Amino acid sequence: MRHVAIALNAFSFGMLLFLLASGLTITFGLMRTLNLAHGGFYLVAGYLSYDIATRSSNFWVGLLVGVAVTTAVGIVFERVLLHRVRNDELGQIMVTIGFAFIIGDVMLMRYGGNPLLVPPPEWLAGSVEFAGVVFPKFRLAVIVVGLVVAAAIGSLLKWTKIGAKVRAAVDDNEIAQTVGVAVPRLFMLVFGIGTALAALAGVLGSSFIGLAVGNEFRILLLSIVVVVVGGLGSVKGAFIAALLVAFVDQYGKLWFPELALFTLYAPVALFLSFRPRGLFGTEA
Amino acid sequence: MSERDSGMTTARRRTWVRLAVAVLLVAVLALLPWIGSSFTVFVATRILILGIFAMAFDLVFGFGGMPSLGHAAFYGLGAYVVGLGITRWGWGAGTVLVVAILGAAVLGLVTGMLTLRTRGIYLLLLTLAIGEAVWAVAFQQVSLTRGDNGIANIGRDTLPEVVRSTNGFYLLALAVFVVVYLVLRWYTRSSFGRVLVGARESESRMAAFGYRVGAYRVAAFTVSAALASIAGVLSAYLIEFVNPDVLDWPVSAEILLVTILGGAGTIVGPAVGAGFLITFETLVSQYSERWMLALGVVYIVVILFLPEGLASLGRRVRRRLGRQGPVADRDESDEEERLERASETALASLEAGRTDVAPIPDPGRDAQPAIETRGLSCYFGGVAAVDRLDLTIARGERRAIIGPNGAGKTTLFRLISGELRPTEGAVSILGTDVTKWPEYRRARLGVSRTFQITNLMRRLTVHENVLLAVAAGAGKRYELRDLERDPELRERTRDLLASWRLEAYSGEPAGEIPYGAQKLLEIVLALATEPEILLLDEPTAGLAPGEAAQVIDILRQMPESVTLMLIEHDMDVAFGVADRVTVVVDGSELVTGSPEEVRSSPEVLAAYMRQVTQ
Repeated sequence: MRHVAIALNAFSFGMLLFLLASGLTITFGLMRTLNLAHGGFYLVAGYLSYDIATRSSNFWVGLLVGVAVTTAVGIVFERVLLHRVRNDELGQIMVTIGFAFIIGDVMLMRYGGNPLLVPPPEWLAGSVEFAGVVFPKFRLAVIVVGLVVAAAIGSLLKWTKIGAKVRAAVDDNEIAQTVGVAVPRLFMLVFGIGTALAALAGVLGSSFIGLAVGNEFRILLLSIVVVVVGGLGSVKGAFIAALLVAFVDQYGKLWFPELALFTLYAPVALFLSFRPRGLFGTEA
Repeated sequence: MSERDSGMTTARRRTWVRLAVAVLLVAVLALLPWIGSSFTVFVATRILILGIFAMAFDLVFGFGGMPSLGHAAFYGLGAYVVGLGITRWGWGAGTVLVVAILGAAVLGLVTGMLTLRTRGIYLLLLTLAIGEAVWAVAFQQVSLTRGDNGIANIGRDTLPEVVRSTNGFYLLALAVFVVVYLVLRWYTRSSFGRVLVGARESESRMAAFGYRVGAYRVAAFTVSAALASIAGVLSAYLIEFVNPDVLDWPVSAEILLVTILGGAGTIVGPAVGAGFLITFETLVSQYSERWMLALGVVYIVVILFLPEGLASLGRRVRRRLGRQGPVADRDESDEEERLERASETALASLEAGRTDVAPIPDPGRDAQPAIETRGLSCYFGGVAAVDRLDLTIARGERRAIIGPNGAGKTTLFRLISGELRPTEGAVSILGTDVTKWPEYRRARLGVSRTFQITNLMRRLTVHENVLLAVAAGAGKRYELRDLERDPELRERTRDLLASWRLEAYSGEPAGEIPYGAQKLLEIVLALATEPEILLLDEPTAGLAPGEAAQVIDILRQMPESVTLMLIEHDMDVAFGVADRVTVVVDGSELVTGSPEEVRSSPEVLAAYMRQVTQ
């Protein structure tokens, strides 16, 4: 029974990672941007939703405002700074690191360094018990949200016209532009969606693993691992890899707490040295 | 006094002036303890240490073109060897240094080997994972490292007395800085450094010369890691404290930042970048606690406004002042005349030069065909680019491969040169089965090639391009001394450039010379390794008719011992140079025969007509 609880825990953590990683992977797939400010957006949304939820004592208002404002920040960042370093992967990484540092320090200035835990809405507080397994309701909700988002992104990419454009631009950016896909506008849209996903993960994550400056980079690194193992640009790969990483992480913590992170990063390094493009990555 | 001699003395004088300036600079820096406050000396020591780290990092990043985001691992390893060695194991400074350097070198070697298959962003992510794995050990092996709390009170008691004080330690750091600089200066001028840079510009070209590119990349990682660990050792002695942060990725990112800021691909530039960042940090920290915010702004500003580093700022200012380099505009007629003279003298030198280097005839070897393929096939996702091809090309033969677009001609070349491995079938070169051989080994057997799209080390000078080819041909692939100072290589390089009339471009980046000259350089590079088999992939494509005619002349006059295989779309070229022609269609051989036979073959006509009517 203990393992059911651990597995469920891993599953819900995997879904949180997927939320963060899916945004990261679609922005990479489309724009070739490895956005290291993604964790920063996660953080902003977490703090904003905390702030507004405690003021309005309404979780949903916090969630909505947190996601909306963060998405706006992301889009402005893309338009004002990021698009200036298009086609320069290293430059994009450096600019997004810089922006992430700025976000982190501003959050530190505004909210201080003590970790916060955002209270979930009342009907998601507490635990459920089923066949002897006790599990927090909120984490079940994260699983549901993760699955819904996965299905939504999947069908968006597969069935809609925008999805087709995105897939075309991922496949061959130049050709997509020449056949009339308005790539810059698409970039903005996709970057906005990616940021919104990071923000959603931030709101859920701050009720899940707590909110503190510095945490965003730890979880960002994990979701980078997810994206890379899944194959840069692949949403399906990110979903599978998110579960993989979450299980390795949870069981690593259980079995060898003094080596848990090493047993995550070292195999990933080995895997990448033989399969640089991950599970489902396409040739660059 | 001849022109060349006076040029030499100017160059030598310039070297002496530079040396004098460097000595003076170090002397002034050595005086700092007697001028500055102890705080200034402390900050200066930090700059020197970060500078050492940045210079070490730039070997991999700037010279090698490998964007590592895991270098904190090597630096932090050095720091942790100090912390653990002194507080736990009671080591002396000597042991600490040796263990740190060896440990980091091994880690660097492993990292270099693991990254062999990766480039660009994939290399960056892989090194990030390696770095985080090392970080995780320090962070989570609490019983050994005390985890996040770190190791405090390291102390400098193990150091010799003279360098324990702030001032003494500063002078030690300065001395190490100078030593590391000299090591890197030597390394980047040896063939290890030059091939590394060559591979940054064009890996495929370096492999075609016969260099085993991976070995140079791994060597660079190893040396870079060892030097970075020295910086880590110094930093732990300086602040007498170490915690997992020194191993974490922000340190790797920061070293990347200062290297870009100071100018990647130079030895001392990154150290200047380190000086700027630490000075800025010291200033900001005096007035505000928001260093991370300021650092974030620095990241963005550097990438947006100084992507080429501070050095480019100087270049930009100089350009604005109108002081351009010696690159003068050439007009078109000059260019034509130059080419004409080029082909004449090149021919003359080929005829003259070849007699004294003629290979000793080896009847056993000569009896073997130069190239033989048996059932050679190559599939790309189910489509056969080359389909069961049997070719035999005798030594000294001139064979043209013609065929419609997409017939598999270039794929055939890549299979022979070793850039691609066949799906099925075998390739023999000079009687040796080389099917499983990598490209660099085949090159050492005497295969050389040109590329369909000019493939030059674009940011290296024309002279450096040829020098790398000449050194490979001379078997000087692992030279420890400065290749430029090897009189034999220099002379061969100068002669080649002179005979092809490219010496006017000698000091210019290969990517910036006119297209016709680039195309010629492409052929010069292939010839400079003194090949026995020369594969030419559309040598005249994109050339003006006059230039093409000159290339044909040169090819016709090639020494008889050299086997020539060329791909051509221009029938005049193919029929004019070749004594036998093979027509390839859809990856298979259609006809092989003399130019006359092929010209009159109805099948060939049909194959071409089919393409036209489709």
